[in-house]
Amino acid sequence: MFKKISLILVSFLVLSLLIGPGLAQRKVEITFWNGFTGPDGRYMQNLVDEFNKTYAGRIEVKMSIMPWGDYYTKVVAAVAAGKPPDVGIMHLDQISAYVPRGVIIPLDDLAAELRLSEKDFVAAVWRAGVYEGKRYAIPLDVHPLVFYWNKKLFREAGLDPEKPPKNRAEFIEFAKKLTKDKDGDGKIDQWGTMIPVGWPNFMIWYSIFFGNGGTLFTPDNKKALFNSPEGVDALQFLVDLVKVHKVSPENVAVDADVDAFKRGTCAMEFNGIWMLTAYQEQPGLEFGAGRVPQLGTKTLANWAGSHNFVVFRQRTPDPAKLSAAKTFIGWVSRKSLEWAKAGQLPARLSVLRSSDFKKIPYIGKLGQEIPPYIVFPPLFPKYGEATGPIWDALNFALTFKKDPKKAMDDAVELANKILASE
Amino acid sequence: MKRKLFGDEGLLTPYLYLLPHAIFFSIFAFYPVFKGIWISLHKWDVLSGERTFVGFKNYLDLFFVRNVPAQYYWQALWNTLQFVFYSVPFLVGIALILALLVSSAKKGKGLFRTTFFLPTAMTVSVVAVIWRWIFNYESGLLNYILYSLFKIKNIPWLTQQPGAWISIVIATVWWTVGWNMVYFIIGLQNIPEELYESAKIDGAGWWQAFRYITLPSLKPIALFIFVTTIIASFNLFGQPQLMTEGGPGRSTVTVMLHIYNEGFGTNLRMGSASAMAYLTALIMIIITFLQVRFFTHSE
Repeated sequence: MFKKISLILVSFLVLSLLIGPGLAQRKVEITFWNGFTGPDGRYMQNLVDEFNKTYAGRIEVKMSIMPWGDYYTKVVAAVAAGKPPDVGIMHLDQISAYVPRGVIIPLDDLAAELRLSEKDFVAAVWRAGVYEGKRYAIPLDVHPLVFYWNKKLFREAGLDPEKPPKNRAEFIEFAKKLTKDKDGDGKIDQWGTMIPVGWPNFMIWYSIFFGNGGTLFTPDNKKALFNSPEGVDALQFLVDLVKVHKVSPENVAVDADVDAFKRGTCAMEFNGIWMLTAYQEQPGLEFGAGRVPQLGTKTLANWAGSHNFVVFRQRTPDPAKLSAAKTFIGWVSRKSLEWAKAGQLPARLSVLRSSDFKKIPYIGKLGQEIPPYIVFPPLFPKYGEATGPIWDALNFALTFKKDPKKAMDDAVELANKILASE
Repeated sequence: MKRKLFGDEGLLTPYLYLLPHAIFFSIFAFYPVFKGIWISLHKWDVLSGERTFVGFKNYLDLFFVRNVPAQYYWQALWNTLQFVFYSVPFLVGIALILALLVSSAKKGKGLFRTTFFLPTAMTVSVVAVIWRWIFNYESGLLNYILYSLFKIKNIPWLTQQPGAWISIVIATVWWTVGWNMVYFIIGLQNIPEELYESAKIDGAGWWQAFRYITLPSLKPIALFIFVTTIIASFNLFGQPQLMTEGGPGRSTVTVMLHIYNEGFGTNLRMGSASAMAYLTALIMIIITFLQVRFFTHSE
């Protein structure tokens, strides 16, 4: 008897397994990979959930989140195995490595379909997604380098907490006022600023370099130019903050500046907009955030990266999946106000200028201040490799192993060798 | 007499026992090793899938063409050898001392063994973050203690040499020494108690017992420990990546970091990355061979 019942049950099970997928046949499943491991991941998950609810029965997006470092490794491995995800997020400076290798597909038709136009985007971001006349990326957000200052420490030093330094002279003057030996033991325990020997000093140098009117490479991308007076001056300025003006401690290691800013022992700090949520959550930290002051001699310039949607080329293209992917990207792109709450600047001007966006604390203000001054790098496949020596040069100079001129000359020599190799 | 194929005495039985391992070994070790050699003979772009056979060019480039990846490789190899030289004596020596202490403990053997072994369960990112804060220049725990107790001025542990190597060695020893300790404890347990008893009767002291009984008896396990520790130190990757970012001035960029960057990072050149990996493997094989020779000869 028991045997009979279980036989019936099992056959039902088998039958439902057979029928189940048949009924759901029309639903398209697409995979979406990204590296939003921070608080931003929750916001993206909410968007994906909402999308799946809206398109229930038709499209289902399956999102995988992994750390950015792993993400690119996994994408490379998945592409090599012929099983890339359908949709991915890619940083702007990575796109130029993927396009010439035929890994991602042009999205001009999607841009046209979504009526995306240059007028609605931060100009630099819009242009950066185009490679040899074709658009490969739909911008999601912009994440600039941000200048953070501690308002309480400003007041204590007799400075107006609502007026951050505007230029190099003011920055040095403020930093000197903010560098203090509070307990009189001969050791400085509050610093004006902190210039790290590693990450993210490249972004600071980059902003000053472009503020000096510098250019990284010749237009044909064959020769490096960053040992120009503009490049050396930018590095010399950073070294001088430590060595001559003594407003930054020596030997600031990875994230030591972040920690010091949170504890209130560093008054002015440079870091990505991605630190904003962490600083907001820090109890008792009263801070301001704005664009990078004009530390260069000619103009305001602000380093920024950008997250972009890309669609991967599949070995056997599936039109249903492709169109589902495009539907998804278009949908999220229109929701960029929601995404802005995750702590990044939306790439769309209509959102940046909307009154709802302006109301978001900090980000609303940053969204007005920074975008006009964003400078994206020239994009070509060797960009990442050829700028590697700059990171080393900054490290050599800020640990006092080489003087800035020598460090930059050596970096250019290496970069030129890299650019000349096949 | 005809032997059966299966069953306790079957001809195939021993091979069937080996089969599961053999399958996994061939898929995950044997095949990749040869595929890797094949890749190293190509200019292999992992993303586009484009590959051109170039023979030994990737290897020859390392020796004769001073291009930037090759330059970085030799520097990274030298950095790695330095780390092996600095770390292995401590990883083995401290493990032995801990093993002796734990084994001779009257009470709480299990507790001590677990405590020293516990850090090995952590991931490298956790270990790196912990030690990064301890070694922080301006606000680190270590500099704080040194200053408050001895008025020693801040020491730039992570951002200058030799501090960077000292920090990485200390973090590595703290993290992984538990493994070697456990091996030594097993080695110590295998030494017959009678040897010590008869030595005692002959009037041998603690040092003599250690020198003439413990050390020689530990030789086989010590060979194993030295070989695996040197290989592990060669594979140094996460600690410098997260604690020093390869600095100061590329001095803690290790071979594995550089190979990773060449293959998966910014450069995506699988062929030359594989060539570097095989050259490094060859160097490790030679070093291992020399160790085995050294250990068996000095008998």
